[in-house]
Amino acid sequence: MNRSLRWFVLFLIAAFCGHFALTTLYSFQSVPATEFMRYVSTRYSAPLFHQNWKLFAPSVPEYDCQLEYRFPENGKWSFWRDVSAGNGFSYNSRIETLEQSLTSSLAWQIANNLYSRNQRAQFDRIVSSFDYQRALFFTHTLHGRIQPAPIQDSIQVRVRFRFTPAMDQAHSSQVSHLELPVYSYQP
Amino acid sequence: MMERLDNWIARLTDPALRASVLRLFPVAVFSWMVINAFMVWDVRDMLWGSDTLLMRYGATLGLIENVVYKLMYVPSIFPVIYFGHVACSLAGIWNWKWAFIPRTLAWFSGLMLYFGAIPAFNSGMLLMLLLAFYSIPVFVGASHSFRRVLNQFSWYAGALQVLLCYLFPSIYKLTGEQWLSGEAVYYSLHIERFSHPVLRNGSFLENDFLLLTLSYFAFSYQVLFPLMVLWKKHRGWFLLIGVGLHLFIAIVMNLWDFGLAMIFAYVLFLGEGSSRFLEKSFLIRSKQIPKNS
Repeated sequence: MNRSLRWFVLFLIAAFCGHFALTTLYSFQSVPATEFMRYVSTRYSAPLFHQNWKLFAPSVPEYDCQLEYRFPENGKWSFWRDVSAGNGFSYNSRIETLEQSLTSSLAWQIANNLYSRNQRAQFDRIVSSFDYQRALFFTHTLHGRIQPAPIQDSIQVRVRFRFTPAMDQAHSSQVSHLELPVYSYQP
Repeated sequence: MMERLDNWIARLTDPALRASVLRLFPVAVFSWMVINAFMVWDVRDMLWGSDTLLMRYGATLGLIENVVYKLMYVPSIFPVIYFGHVACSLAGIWNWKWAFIPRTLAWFSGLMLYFGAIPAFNSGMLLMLLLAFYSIPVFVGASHSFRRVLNQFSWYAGALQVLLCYLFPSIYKLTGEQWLSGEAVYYSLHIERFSHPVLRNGSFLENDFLLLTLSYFAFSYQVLFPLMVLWKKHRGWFLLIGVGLHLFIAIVMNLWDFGLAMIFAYVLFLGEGSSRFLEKSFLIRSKQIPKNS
């Protein structure tokens, strides 16, 4: 057997084991590992071998959420419209995928950063989050691209939650909306 | 020990070993890349163009991050990256000596496109990017033993990655309650984005028994995949069931990119007979395989 071929195979085995060990450690952030190992696995895996296997895992959201918006039109607020459907994109378009992804992140902000003080809902943490700004930017830009008249001075978004009833209960969904504060653009 | 290693290496250098499967591997991966690129054709400018719908943010970690995130900072280069990705993917489909060059470019431009519009993609694209990386060195018909060994390692890496792609989510799902109680598909199909209007408007979503069965079936398939796919005798039937499952995900749950990615990845587990049949069906020209030296 060619000696150099043997060494080459041994090198490939080492690279193979090292690659999968590091990417596995990266995939399981909850596995106990030293800070150094975690650093090495993250630096190695992201972004070239980034992976995320959490689609529908560990649980599926027990609600459907949609992003809606309104804006001042002829001196009064427009009606609420779905960001993608309201701009002519069907439920199976990639723009709806974008909307869903951004709304899921915004829903996470609502679940974790909405609090009340003096019995009033406080939105400061949510509106300063990247997820809120991203949703707002997406809404504003999509409207500007599709609609003939762009949004001039202010915009308001809300998240429409449709809660899925438990499996053994009556099949009627409960719908609720969470309106976020009005965002005004600088003149 | 050394003798066993040498025997194994000698087997790896056999040019006929998994020849058809290895020929189909890059065909499947880079065909998916081309299909995926055209699936976003009508909205490509909204995803990556200078007037993108996605807010830009920076990555300041290092050189590789900055290159991969380049589309974030310089959206004007998007046509070069997008059309370059399609062209390189097409060139990567063919089994030729220098295919590793367009494949490397297709993989890297694919990463740039993914990181330029993360919310628009799912783990289907991530799996295909990983498989694209592993398939870079594949060249069936190589005369050099080093390259033949590399071919086999490409297959090992690709196959292991697909197994892990089933194993990791299974472990995550075992930590939740919904999959174990069989309610996961019920909740998934109640999300508008993942539910075909025909299902939503009919009585399908009220049939608890059917939804429970579907949920346990999908979960069992996922958990059993890493074991069953190694069992040669029934592998074909098992993969066929998987194709049905992923077609359901593609059509009913509207996850075409993910469903097709999983189906295309199955080529790695095909037997010689099935892979030859596929080769003939898709008119892939088999190159004369040189005799083992």
